[in-house]
Amino acid sequence: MMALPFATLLIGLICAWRRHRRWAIGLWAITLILMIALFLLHATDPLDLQF
Amino acid sequence: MRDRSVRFLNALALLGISALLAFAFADQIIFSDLPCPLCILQRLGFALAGFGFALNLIWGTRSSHYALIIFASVIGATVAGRQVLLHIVPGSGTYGEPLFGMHFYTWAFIAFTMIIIWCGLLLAIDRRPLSHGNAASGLRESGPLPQSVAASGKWITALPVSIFALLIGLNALSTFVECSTGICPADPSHYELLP
Repeated sequence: MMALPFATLLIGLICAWRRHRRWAIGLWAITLILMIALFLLHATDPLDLQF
Repeated sequence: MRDRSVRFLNALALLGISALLAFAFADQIIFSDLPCPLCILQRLGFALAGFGFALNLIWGTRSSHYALIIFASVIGATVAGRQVLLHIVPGSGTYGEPLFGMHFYTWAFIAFTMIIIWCGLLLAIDRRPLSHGNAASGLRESGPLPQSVAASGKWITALPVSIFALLIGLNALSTFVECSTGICPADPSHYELLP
């Protein structure tokens, strides 16, 4: 599951290279959201954070 | 002249981030030092920050590209800071071997901070993003770039972006082999997909 954001970012980079800037930035944003979700999933248990 | 300098500094930043990712990847492969979930997220933070530099190289500099880099660096620094705090109490253990007296996550926190400072410097010397110079020069959201932009510094764009793309692909592959489709273990000891 943690490989997914790398894959979306790679697709975004390919979109940027093929001159589709909006798709590229959209995929960057999806990757960032995935990263934050994975951070909350993996790393906040010991802090007892409530979301 | 200033355009070429800014382009060179963006390429330098992207190569620097690629070097960080390559170093972490080499450490993983050569020393079998499997990255923990937070380590993988820090690599992802570097990749997200590098993406903004790649956009600057491909599309020309824009304030929105610098914003992407700063957002990614802040999130990446948060992840690295989280891992530093996990191990800051004496006796709470560490993850991985130190490098020059500090662990990778501490270096990552410093690197994310340096990227933000680097962006500040680039924004200070690059006046175009604030003056909408690119929009006026005819750049569109899709389709081919104007020939004058595409032709200038072809190699300085192609080489760093290609290396960066290769490293993102390798990280995607190694993360998939390590964690498969499930949740990564907090302290991984083997690759899930390798016997």
